[in-house]
Amino acid sequence: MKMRVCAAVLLGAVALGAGQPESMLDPELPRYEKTTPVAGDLRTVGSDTMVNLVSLWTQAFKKQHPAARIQVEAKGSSTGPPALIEGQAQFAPMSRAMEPEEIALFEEKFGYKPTQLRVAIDCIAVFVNKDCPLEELSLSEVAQVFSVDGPTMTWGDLGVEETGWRDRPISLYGRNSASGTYKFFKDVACSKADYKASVKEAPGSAGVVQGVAKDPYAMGYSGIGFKTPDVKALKLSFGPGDEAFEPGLEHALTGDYPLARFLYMYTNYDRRHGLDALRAEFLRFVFSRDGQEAVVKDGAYPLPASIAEEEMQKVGL
Amino acid sequence: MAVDPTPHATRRTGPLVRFWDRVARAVITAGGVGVLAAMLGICVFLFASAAPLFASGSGRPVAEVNAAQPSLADALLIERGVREGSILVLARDGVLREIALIDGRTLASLDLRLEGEAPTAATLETASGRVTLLFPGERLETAEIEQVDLLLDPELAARRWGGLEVGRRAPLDDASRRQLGEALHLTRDLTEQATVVRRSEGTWAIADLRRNSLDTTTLHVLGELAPEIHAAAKSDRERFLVGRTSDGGVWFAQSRRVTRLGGGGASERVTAGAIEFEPPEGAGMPLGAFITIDGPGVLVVWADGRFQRYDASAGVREPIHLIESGRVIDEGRHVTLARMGLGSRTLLVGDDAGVLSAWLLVDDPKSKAADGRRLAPAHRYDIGEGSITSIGLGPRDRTVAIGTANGAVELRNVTSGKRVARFESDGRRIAHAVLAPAIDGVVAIDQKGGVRAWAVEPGHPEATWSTLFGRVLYEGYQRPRWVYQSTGSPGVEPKLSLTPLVWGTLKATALAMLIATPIAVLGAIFSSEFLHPRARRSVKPTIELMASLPSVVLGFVAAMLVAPFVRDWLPTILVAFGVVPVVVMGCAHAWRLLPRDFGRRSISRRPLVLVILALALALGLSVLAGPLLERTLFAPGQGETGPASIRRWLDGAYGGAFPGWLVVLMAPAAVLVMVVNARFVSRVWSERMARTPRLTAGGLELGRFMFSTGLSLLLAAAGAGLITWLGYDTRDSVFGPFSQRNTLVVGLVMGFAVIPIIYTISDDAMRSVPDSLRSASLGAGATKWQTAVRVVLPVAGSGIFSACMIGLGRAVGETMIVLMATGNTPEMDLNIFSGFRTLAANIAVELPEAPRGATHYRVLFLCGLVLFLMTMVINTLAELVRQSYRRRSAAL
Repeated sequence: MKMRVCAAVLLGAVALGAGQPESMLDPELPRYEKTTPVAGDLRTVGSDTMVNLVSLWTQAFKKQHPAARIQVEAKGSSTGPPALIEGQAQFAPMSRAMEPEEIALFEEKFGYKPTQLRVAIDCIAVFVNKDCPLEELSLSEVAQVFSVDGPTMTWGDLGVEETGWRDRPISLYGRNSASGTYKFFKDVACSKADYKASVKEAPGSAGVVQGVAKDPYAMGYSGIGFKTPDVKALKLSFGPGDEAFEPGLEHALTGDYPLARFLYMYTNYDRRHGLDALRAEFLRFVFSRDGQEAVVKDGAYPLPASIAEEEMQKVGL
Repeated sequence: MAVDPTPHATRRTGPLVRFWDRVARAVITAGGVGVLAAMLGICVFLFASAAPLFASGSGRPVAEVNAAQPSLADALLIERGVREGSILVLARDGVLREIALIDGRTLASLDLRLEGEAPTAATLETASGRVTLLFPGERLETAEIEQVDLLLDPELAARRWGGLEVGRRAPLDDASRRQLGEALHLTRDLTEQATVVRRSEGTWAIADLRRNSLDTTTLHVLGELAPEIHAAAKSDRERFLVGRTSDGGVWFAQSRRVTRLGGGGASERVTAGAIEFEPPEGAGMPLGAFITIDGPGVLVVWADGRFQRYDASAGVREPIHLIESGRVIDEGRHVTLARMGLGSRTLLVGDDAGVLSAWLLVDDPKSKAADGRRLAPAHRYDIGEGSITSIGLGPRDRTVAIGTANGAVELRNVTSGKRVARFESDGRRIAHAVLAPAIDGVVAIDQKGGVRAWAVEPGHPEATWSTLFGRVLYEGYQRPRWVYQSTGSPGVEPKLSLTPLVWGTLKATALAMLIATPIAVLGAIFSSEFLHPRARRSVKPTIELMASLPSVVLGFVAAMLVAPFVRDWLPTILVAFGVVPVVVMGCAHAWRLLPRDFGRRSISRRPLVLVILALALALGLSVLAGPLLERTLFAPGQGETGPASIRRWLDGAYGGAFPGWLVVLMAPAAVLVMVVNARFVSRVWSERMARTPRLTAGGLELGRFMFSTGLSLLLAAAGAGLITWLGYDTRDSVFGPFSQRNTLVVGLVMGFAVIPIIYTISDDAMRSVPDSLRSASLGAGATKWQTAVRVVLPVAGSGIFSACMIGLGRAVGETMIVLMATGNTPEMDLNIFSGFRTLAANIAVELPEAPRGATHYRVLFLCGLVLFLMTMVINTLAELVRQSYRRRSAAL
């Protein structure tokens, strides 16, 4: 019981933090219409970044289909593929694309590849404490700060001249290695270099934000959906001299924001048998206007209708 | 059983009693043996799971294509395919073919010609499918190659292609291509070259290759381009391209890519850069030109062993210029092959003596290069007779397949040096050695186009004793170091040194024990020897209750409350470590000055109240003294700005080494003074005191204590001054930059967690010392303190030692507190203000993500085994020491 109360409080806080759901939604997304009531067990195992999102979908879906029982387990994207392969989960929400080895392991067992569905758009934000005077960074500076390619950095190295900041070292927060965000940030922001050993690993995205909120000299990265009023998301540019953009749907779609990515849901879709009714209905909900509204509520960004349609076609819906 | 009142009437034990006696004995024996067996079983299981890490790989031949295919020998490009058992070959005619190794047949093909002209050079990054092609007229195309592999409905396929033999393919006619495209919901149509392949009895698949062109550009480099090209990605967005021109020059270009999530896909733009090329005299045509991602820069290697490095950190905005030149091989020998390793940070050089060497860019203060770096040899392996003619890169780690002129193929991991497998063939020169996607196979193509394939059981190429425990020079690091970062990708290899984890475990345990042992043992002495039994009856269960707090709760408290508290009250907490003992002892001395009646009554009835009062006084003083000390001792010196703050001092923002050494040396100085006191002064002193009036004696005693404290301070200051003068700084060792999730926090909370265990067992040990010993000691005129320290403590020593060891065992294996209260940062330093990662926390964090049987998975079991061995060694040592103690006290 206690767990559920915690989750509800967390969801409430996140929902308050997000703004204007209507303006971001593609008007061409269809509303969700229940075709047949479905029942049964559904289990998702995977990304922690997407835990709130999947929970929002689950709750709304259960309202329509009270007989469906859905369990959400979120320990990091890397836990998804093994669960999918072992048959412990019907869906694997992942905040990164599957690695070729993970696909190979799946293929070895089933003879075909897992089906990748893009379910939302996300920006990874670089967070600092709300009192931090820094406003923007370039990706090369981000790499210097977080990776072993750069020296131990102080705020002065990033151009912060305020006394009390200039000579303070930057305290670093990041995700644990099971996280898709960890891998994405390492590959894209750190140019595939190792993280510094001093990057503190939080087991969840909320933990990163919490760490940054409690530590005034901290810098950390996680999905934009986890932003709270105690932290500030920096504007990012590709390189020194380039224009910096704040994380947002518009800049993600144009490719201007450097750390934009899709959030995925993988499933074991066998073309020969098609999807079972429960999974089909759930996906229909996810790719509907209602499902994408939940994405906005979570703080991530909704898909354009064209992509939603493309993804539905992949699983024959 | 009732005792028989008549002594001579013998009564035998009843059969029922004997039966139950036997049953009990059997059950207890079985239980004991079971426990031992379970322990042994766990040990064997851990060992069995970890042992394969150290085994070497093996291999066997799977295919030999006798009909040599000359087109393979002079192919532009041969790389591993995505599918098992196939390779991708780009022949001179400009067609990319996917070739099945089993029979050398083409599975799928793709025309890569541009306006009817075949490419002259190509490079393919298998992981991303990125291909870069050079065409006559200095035209360059970048594209993505997609390998499509779709399973077909067996019923449908059997009807249409049932006659197809296993392993064979059939072309697709227009009708079936359209029909399949619709049935499979393909977003793009199948190409003309798509074929149906029968993979096994019941499965058919469509094999197809597609090209998605990203950019075509004309380079305008003077001179005709030579048929080689090297491309390396700095990030998903930025790539660098380099190649030679046929007159011995070098060209350089950069490509930038924009990915739009909102549709429209990706686009790319290639820009040629200028190069201020200064080849060494008489060097002739370079052997190869490569991008190194470190920098980034361009490496040019000549056959005589000379190399040059050009700085390309400004990309194409400025001409790239020479910053370093040197040799990768001794004069007189010849480089036969140079290739950039996976990830484009390591230069692999093969020579005519069969030696493979790996070169990395490292920082070197003596380097004459403008960026202060130097190309340095990192590894060197003797492959055997015959020059090295081919190097095939592994798909995801640093394992390479090395082909020699004698026809041998060796699989070796460049970082660990582990030889995975070695195959000999008939002595024809190996033109291409290609590794399969999962390193489970290797293909060699000789100079005549003959193909040979071996299946490989790779084992765990990255794991050796030296990579798991020793220092290794990794790519991107400047020195050989102990690194743990288990997540790898094709660009970054996983680093699996357990040493930082063992170090973190020891560091956390040591600090926790340092904090817990004195408090717990002194507490046990107090409660067993001084406290009124009634008070003891309520104190002991209360402390034991502390042990029942789940460690996850403690971890939560540590992370959420203690860590911010330590950050905000750091000076006070540091000062308290010194002030509390001094004040409490000072209070004890002061009590002697009180009138005899008052003192005796209050102390004997309510010692706890007095102790609590003294502690409160000490803490109050610490609160006052902390900031005072921060403002005086840790103040910025002349010419240094900013507010005085211990955290800024720790960060190294200002100040000298003196205050740090003063703090560190305080405890040793105090111990030294105490020892000198006890050895040389105490006897004379107490004899004098016996003749002095009580009040005067108390005053003198207090004076002596204060003098000793002052002397310790002076000694510490003198020592600190000396060490500072010698030029050492504490901030390189026990102190250092302050991190909020640090060892001190874990030490405090983990100390809190082990105190109850140590306390309660020590207390029991001392209570079990026979009262006769106490009475004898007290009767002989010893004080309660003397009795406790000189009589009870030595007798109970073995028990107290066991208590400490059990506490130690708990601290070593403690997981949740460490997991939650630290950032799990695998750092290796002495700094008590930095984080760490322990073996136990590492297992908890990473086991869910480790695929079964993978190297990472086995390394986690090795962590478990190491942890097990550590606690076993500690317990065995503890038992030995305890036995010797016991023998000594038994003799008493």
